[in-house]
Amino acid sequence: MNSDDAQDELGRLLRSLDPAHTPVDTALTAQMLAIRDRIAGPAGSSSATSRTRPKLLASTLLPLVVVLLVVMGLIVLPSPSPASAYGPRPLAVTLNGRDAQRSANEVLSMLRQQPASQDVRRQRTAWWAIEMRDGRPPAPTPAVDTNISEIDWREDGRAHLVVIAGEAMFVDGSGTTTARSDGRPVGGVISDETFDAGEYQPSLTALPRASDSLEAMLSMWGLTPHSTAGDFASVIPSALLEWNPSSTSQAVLFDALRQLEGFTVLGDTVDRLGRRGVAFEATTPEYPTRRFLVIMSAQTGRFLSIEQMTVGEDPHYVGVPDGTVVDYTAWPDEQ
Amino acid sequence: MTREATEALTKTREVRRSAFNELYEAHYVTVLRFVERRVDTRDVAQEIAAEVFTVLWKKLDPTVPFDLPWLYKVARNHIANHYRRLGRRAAAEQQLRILGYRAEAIAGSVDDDLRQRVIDGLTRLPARQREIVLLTYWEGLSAAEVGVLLDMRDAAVWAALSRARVALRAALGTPARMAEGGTR
Repeated sequence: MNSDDAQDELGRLLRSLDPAHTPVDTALTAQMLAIRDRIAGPAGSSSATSRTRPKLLASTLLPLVVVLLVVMGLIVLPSPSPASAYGPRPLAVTLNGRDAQRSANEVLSMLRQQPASQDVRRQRTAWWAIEMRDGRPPAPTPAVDTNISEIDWREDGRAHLVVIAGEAMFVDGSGTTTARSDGRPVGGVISDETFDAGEYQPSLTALPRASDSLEAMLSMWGLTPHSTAGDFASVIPSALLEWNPSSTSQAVLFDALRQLEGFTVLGDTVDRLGRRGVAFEATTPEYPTRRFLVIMSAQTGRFLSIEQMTVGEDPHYVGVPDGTVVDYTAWPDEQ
Repeated sequence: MTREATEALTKTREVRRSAFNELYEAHYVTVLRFVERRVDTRDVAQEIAAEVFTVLWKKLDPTVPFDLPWLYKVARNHIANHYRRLGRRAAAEQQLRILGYRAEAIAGSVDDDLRQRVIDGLTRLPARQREIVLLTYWEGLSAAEVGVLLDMRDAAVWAALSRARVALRAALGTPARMAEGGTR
């Protein structure tokens, strides 16, 4: 066998192992074309203009409604909706009369008053996310299964990562149950993996520092200088899934978030683990049909949880109604 | 808004849509296959492929070239996020598992032993080299395209690919002196 033959043989074997299911010469199917039209709209459509009237109506009426709710002292983020069965009910938020920057300053002040500590390469994260199947949402359920990821990793790439079955959350917000839909026992190990030196590649090998410019910080996640609060809120969990940051580092992350466009305060809330928090909203033109809810602790200022909710028809969650929580991540442990 | 301005806006929108449709038609299946090779269910692959083209639609500027390596790059980020979220090994590690499934699915031919040796060889390669091999043989990318995707220079890609081929041919039992196909 000469060198070229050996090359061909290797290439043939590698190609025979190609796991792609879709044949290379597949013409676009009706489903693929439907996905395209969901993203960009069908040719000749004028979706922007057809939505002008509702937008105008909303922009006229919304301030009035908000004022009324402020007078009543209470605003509940899309309260019991038929959509809630696809995911946990949106958190109830009470207006606290403070604007975004004042609320953010209070959070930062709390964080800066915490005792000095170190960033820790060990973290526990509770999470749930809607799972689309064949481009459709699963059937509505009374409760959704949460999972808990626990990671402990070292600078040299060694790591131990365990995913544990958490309790199921009733979608109506009435608490949790140990009866998971997948039948796993709560606390049961779903996966347990050990990584040898050099095997584990963290998302961020170091957390941003206060001395980093906002631009430099954003670029650590591959974000551009024009990124908005929603863009940043969408990547913060990747750092908090692996790091349990000191309060100083949490302040750096939050300080960056609050400086970006699309950052507003919603009010006071109690998160899904029963902790008092301040709810901030982050939006991005990248995902106009999604909004991110960032909950900071009302006692320590630390990140408690980040949730994503649909706004209108989200092309990633076709068939999922407006106002559905589709993704939830929480950090149960203080340092 | 004046009628002229509305017409201009509509025209711009149509130009964008047309550019998007062209890219979608040219690359959707390729991107879907790229993702299918790296995640273990079709649903997730379809979801990630749709996310990639949503990002394209948001960022698309018909005057700026958006090519396949750019789409692959976006797809890699989404795949990495998918695994990170699941608290699982990096995508490159998952690929080995997927390769194992594939080998099982096509088991029963005379190539079984050779395929297993290739998988063993791939398992022993550093993650970066393995990624370069698979991008070359599965995606059919040139060294320059792999370089764009992995932020490496062409020469570094060639060097890594050559080292990987030597190792894989050794795993197949091909004599080492024949193994090197040239480093250019």
